[in-house]
Parts: sequence; structure tokens; C-alpha cells
Amino acid sequence: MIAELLAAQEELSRRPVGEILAALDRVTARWLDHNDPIRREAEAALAETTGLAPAMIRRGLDETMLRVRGIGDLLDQDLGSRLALDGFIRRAPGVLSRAYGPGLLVVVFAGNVPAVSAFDMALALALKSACLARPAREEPAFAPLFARSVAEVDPLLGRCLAVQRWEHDEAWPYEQAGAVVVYGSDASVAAVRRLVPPGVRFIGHGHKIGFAVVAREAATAETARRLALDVAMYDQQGCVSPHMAFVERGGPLSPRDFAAACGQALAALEGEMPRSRLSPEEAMALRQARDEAEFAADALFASPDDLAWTVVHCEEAAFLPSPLNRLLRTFSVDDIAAVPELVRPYRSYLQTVAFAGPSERREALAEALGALGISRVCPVGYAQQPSPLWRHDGRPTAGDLVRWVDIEEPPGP
Amino acid sequence: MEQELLEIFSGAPFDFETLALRIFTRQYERCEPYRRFCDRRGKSPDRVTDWREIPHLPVTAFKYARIYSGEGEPVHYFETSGTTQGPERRGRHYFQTLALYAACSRPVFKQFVLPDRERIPMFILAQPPRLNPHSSLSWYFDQQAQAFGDGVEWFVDEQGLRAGALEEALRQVQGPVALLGTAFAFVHMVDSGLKVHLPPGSRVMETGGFKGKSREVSREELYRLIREALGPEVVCLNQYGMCEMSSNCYDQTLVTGSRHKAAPPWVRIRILDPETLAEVPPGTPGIVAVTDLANLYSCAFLLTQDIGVMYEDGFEVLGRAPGSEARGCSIAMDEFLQVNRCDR
Repeated sequence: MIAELLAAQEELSRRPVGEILAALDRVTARWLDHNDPIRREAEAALAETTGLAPAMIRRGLDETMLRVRGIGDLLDQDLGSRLALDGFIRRAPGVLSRAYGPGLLVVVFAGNVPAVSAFDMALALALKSACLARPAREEPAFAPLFARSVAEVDPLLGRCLAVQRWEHDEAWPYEQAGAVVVYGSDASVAAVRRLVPPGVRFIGHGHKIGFAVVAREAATAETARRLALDVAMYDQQGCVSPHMAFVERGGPLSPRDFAAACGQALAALEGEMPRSRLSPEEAMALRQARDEAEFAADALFASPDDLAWTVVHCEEAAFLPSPLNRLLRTFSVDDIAAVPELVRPYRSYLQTVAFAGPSERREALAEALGALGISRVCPVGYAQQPSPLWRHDGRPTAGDLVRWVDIEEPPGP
Repeated sequence: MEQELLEIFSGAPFDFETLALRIFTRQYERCEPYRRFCDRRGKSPDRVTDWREIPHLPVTAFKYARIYSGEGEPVHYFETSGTTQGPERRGRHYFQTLALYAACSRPVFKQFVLPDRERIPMFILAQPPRLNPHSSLSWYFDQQAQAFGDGVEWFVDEQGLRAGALEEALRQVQGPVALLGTAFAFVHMVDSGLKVHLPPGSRVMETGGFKGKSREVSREELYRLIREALGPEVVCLNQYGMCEMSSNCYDQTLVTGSRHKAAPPWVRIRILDPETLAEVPPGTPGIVAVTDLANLYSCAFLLTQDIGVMYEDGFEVLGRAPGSEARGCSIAMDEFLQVNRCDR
């Protein structure tokens, strides 16, 4: 199978990038058509395997496909121009550069956010590279459907994609890889890293914790409504999902009232996007966090008859992640400028911060958080919709996968 | 009510449902945190007619609130042991007197651990009350030792298990003996390499989880290792109890041969769906909810953190809920706390 991928990749390397992107546009056009049979098949399969609400799956598919549509812009950003993949482009006076894709890209996906695999597979193709994708056990359905849709639109691109599962300790998939990308727990990332031959580009996206910061100016019911969406999407399982929100005192809503408003907003989402089923362990973890909050927290807002949603409010700020599945912790702060110190001990886990407030305060906060290693500050309500230009974990997503060849021209007369 | 309970512990007939409702009324009136907990659920004594509707207080409440329904100031409290996960808060179980506590444990111990004899030499793998006065387990072992011990020695001190002394003492035994202790102490015992051959009729009663104090082994594996260390005739059984309870439940190994646990008549175990807290059918795992009427001075209606299953002849505890893990590159609270040893 790998030999076939490599042979197809050889053929793909002669395709202009513009043609590849045009084919990918035809693929995403199919996926953005809610009546397309493959899209409907995927929606049904994802609802079945993940248990996520159909409305959430539809939303997630649309957002993922729009991100795929941005790959051309991503190439322009990361490589200077997408045309660097077709030939030498002048990078500076006296320097011409050409970019090559990684060669076979092996991607190990996590099961927490369905359909994200479309982006990595499409990016590999845009970089004229084949892609071997290992879907997660919890979400095996989407990647084969995406590969099939690519093959139906463009057989050569289709032959550059393979989707297969293998055991965690199998090394063969990595032996001829040009680059390996792994999403998963720190332990899974480390386990794959050990199997990858030296010299092969390795990019691991391990454990991350998201949080939100709400400046007093934005402590409103509208912000709470947006934050609830960030919490509800994928039942908070995304690495960008906010576990907690630091809410500044002195705004239109007190932090406690803001927490109550988040609860109301989460309750309102129940109709359209009910939470997925829980494993007994997940239910126990939520139950215990709630029980603890009932006696230890300053306020608890929770769905009355089940564990559908929970907001735990504490007046004293701390960094305490959520058991997930729609449990949001809110903490009061006098000044959002205190947040960087609060989160500093956990800097290695930090990635996305959802922010609501005036832009000048956003920049000051982003400076301080950026120094700690946070890589993305997005508006509250958009945590799950990273820009196509997103530098995942702070690194250029396409730029990290290519290698360059430079021509240095002789000095002029 | 104390007198009534003492008679019940001695075998007097009683109506569980009526007594449960009476104790609920009393505890609702006397224990403010429990009353507020019930009020938030719309459950007050004048509205609850079936004892199964009485709200079960999560045991975590003992960490944050004074759960006391006695008169006057408590004479004693037991404290939860905590785990090695960090300097976490400890729960306290308060008592107006310890008379009920003493009386409710002995007949049950006798029934399930010593059904075949009046007294037995005891080797206790736990700290004596002198070293750990607020350990309910030390106190419980001491009660059984006083009532049924025929020579009693304690083998855990501030430094841990005295495995050498234990081995030496076990080599001297002439007839059947009982070893009582925490599960993790028995792990330390088998890990010490101790090897003796105890006479038939000898028994091991262990209790509690491992709490990060020893390696974790399955109960099956622990019993296999214990029989390797102490001899193949040794019978092993588990006691289920906790600091927040007064009574104990036991495997019925020595009585009927069943490893499913039995509770005394004043204790009822129900298994609840963690999502809805509705009772689940037999065979389905859920949260263990305990109604222990011996908990007169605190709260008789407890929601534990254990996962259990009900069967026809008793129940099984599958263990402490392991906490949830996130599904991918996110990380859930419990995994995070394990890595970071947070102090909350």
C-alpha cells in the first residue's frame, strides 16, 4: 500500500499546485452541499459513532471544510507564495527558493473532534504529498469517506490518500514517512515518537487546556451565550475548548451572574445540541465534580435532572480544569491582568484563549500570555473555528512540513 | 432512638422503611447542611413518603461541611485517610457517642468473619488507635480485637509494615489465625517476600483501596499472592466500609461461599445511574448509594464514590470511580490532577 502511495505521489509532484487546490475546492463544494450523498452519509455515521448532536456535526463539517478552503491562503502565508511549490520564486534580491512537500505524510488522529482529519489530508495533497491517515478508534468513519470523496472528484488525488488503523506499537507505517503528525494525549504522542525513525519530521500535538478571559466591559449575557457555544461544541473535548473562564469584576454582569447566564445559555443549547452519551466513568467524574462544587464552590448552576450541563463559580481564582462534557468553571478576578500569573504554572498545557473585551486590552493580555507560550487568542464563541491561517501550537502549519531549496545568484556586476 | 438501634443491632425485628423515614426527619431537622441539600432537591420529610426518595448526601460533603445530627458537641470524630495525590482536604465523621458505632460492627464481623468460632488469634496489618486516633479503621480493628481476639498483635507502626516481625510471629502459630488489614498493607506483605504455611481455618480480611500507597493489583491477584505467601488453605475476604459509614458489609465467602457482599439488616445498598441517580437494574454498574441507619449522629443516606453492581445474592464493588479521561488531545481534570498533584 505504501508503494502505491509513493507511486501516486510521484505523479502528483508534477501537478501544478493551482490544479490541486482547484480539485480540493470541488471536493469541499460537495461537502458544503448539505444534500450531497456523501455528506449525508458522513453526518449519519458521525452521529452514530460519536453520539454528538446532528446539529453540532453539521456545524463542525461546515467549519472544517471552510478551513480546508483556506489552504491556498495558508500556503501563501507560510511559503511566501503557493507557487513556491511549482518552481523557484524570488524570495529576496539574489535568492530564489522552491519548496518541496514532506513526502509521505503519516497522520495519527485523535477521536475528540470529528472530521478534522479533512484538513491534514487536504494539506498533504496541496503540498504534493501522499497521506496515510490513522483514524481514531472512537471516530473511524469520517476519514475514509473524505478519501472517497477526493477519489471521486480526482482519481489521482484519491490514490494519494490511504486510511487505515494499525496497532499503537507498529512501526511500519513510519518507516518511509517524510513527516509524521500525531494528535492525542501526551502518552500517545510520546509512544509514536519512539517509533519514528531519526531524521523524519515529527510534529506532536499533545495535551492542551483552553480557557476564556472575559473583561468587565464584555461581561454580558451575549458573551455568556457565545461562551456556552464554545463549551458545548464537541462536548468540550476539543483541545481548544475552554475548561474555565476568568471573569473580571465590575462589568454589567457580576462574575456570579455571568456564570448564571452561562448556565442559562447552556440550557438553551440543549434543544438544538444535546450533549452526547457519557461513559460511566465520565458520568461519575461529572457527578463528583458537581457534588464537590455543591459544598465547596460559591455557586453551582446545573441542569436539574441529569448531568447535561454544569457551571461552577468560585470567587477566588484558581487554575482547575474541568472533567469536560459541558462543565464550565468560572472564577472572579479583579483585573484580567492577573490571569497570566494564575496560569503560569501550567504553561506547557496552554494553547487557546477565548477573549471577550476591548481590543486594546486584548493586546496587552495576549502579550503577557504569549510570553508564557499561549499560541492563539480568539474571540469568545469562536474557539472551535480556528482561522485557516492558524499556527497550530504556535508553529506554521504548512511551513513546518516543507523543505526548501535556495539558489543564491552570483553578486551582480 | 439509640436504645432502639442497639436492640436492632442485637437482632430485634424492625421495619426498615419506617425507621429510615424517622431518621431522615431527625437528620433533616438537626443537620443544616443536609437540610439545605435536601431543600435544593425539593425533598423534605413532609414530602418524602418512600425511603428511596430520601436524598443521598455525597460523601465529599464530609470534607466541606459539619455533617452532625447529634445533641450537644460531638465526643469524637474520625477522619478520612486521603490519598497520596496531595495534601487534599479530609472529611470528618462526627459522633455524639461511640456506643452505636461499637455495637453495630461486632455482630456483623462475627457473622461474616468468624461464623465458625468464638475467638481467634489476630494479626492486624494496620496502625493501632494509639498511633492513629482518628482512623475509623484502626478503631474498628480494635473493637473486633477486644471482642473476638485471642491474642492480638499490631504490625504497622509509623515506619510502615513490620514484615519481619509479622513473619516471625506467624511462624509460631499453632492453630487457625486471622489477619486483618488494609489491602495495601497486604500488598506490602506479599512484596516483602514473607512465606509461611498457616493452618487450615486461617483467614484474611482486607479492606479499602490502594490509594497510591502500594502498587495496584486486582483483588483476584492479591488473593492469589496472599495464598502464595500464607498457604493455600487461607480464606480471603473483603470488607466494605468507609469513614463516613458506621456499619460494614462483607463478602459471604465464609458463610455461603459467595463473593458478593451482604449488608446487615439496618443497611441497604442501592446502585444508581450516575447521570440521573435513578436505581439501575441488577447486573448494571452504577454508583453505590448506602443507607446506613447506624449513622444516627451524622447522615444515614450516603452517595459514595464507588462503582458497584447488584446481584441476587448481594453486591459487588468494582472500585473507586477512576475519573474520566479526555478523548484526545484535550485533558480532563482527573488526568491533569494526577500529573500536577494539585492541592485543591
